[in-house]
Amino acid sequence: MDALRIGRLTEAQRVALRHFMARKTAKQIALELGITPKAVELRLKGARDVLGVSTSAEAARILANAEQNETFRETLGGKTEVANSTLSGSSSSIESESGEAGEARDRKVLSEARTAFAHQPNRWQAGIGWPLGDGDKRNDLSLGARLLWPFLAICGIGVSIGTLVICGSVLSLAVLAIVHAIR
Amino acid sequence: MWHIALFNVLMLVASTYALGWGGAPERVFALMSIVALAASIHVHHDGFLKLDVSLFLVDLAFFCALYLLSIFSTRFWPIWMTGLQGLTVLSHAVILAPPPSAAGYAILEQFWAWPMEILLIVATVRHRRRLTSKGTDRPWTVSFWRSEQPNPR
Repeated sequence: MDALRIGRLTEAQRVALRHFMARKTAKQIALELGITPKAVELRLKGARDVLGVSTSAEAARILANAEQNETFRETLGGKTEVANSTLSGSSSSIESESGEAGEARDRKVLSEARTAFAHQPNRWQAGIGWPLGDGDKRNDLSLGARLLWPFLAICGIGVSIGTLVICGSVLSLAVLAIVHAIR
Repeated sequence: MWHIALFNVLMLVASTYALGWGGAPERVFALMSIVALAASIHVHHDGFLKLDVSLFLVDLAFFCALYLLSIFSTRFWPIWMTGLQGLTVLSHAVILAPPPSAAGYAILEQFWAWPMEILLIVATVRHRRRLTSKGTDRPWTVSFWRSEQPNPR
């Protein structure tokens, strides 16, 4: 599986696949996400198309493999052996392979997972998130982020407006001084 | 006092729109803002010449209510509303800072309510759009579990 394809999955498609992997029906997923079952089907179909597979189960399994996450992220820092052992374990649970073919497959999947996760935010970024939506996005911030963000908003808005007011005042004074000097 | 009349019209429009066409968080906010305004009018008598403790407590209570709303809502806007209300609470400190400025206190204490009402209208419009496109718009966060996991399955 081309890791670039996994990287092309949208967040909505990933979420749908994760729910699917948890053996939920389209109706259950729809209820949980607050969308229609038809929209869930569309997301799953989109994911199947992107990954080039025929079943949602296969697509979900591919994503789940790639998201053997924590260990994989550590491997980005060079801890390859730990990741390899974890990956070998997860791979063997999906499809039993041995010998050189199995090792080659593990190496390939590890490489794909590295590529797939290379562009993803780290735990802190994923945890805090941004409290901004495009009108469609639902607030999926963690509890910690929700507790923290109002205070960050106070600081951000306060500093921004304060700076604007101060700059405006200084500018007004400067203009007045220039006008006064000209006269 | 044209600005007060204008604000009342803005608040009437925003609250009516939110109560009639908004989701649960929009309606809750509209109700809370009406109660907060009524309480503010009830407790505020002395102008802005000295710290108005009653008004401060009303603002603080509104801030706490908004904070809870921002935690349990599936919307982003309550976070920003809480931020703006937090600035309203902080504006009471203006009268304590030397030199005390009654005009500055009055302006800062009332200014932040304007963007909040505009934000409420925007939030209600967005809610209507989501309803139209998805058919549903869940109002409250059922569980924080999903959002606390970096990559949940």
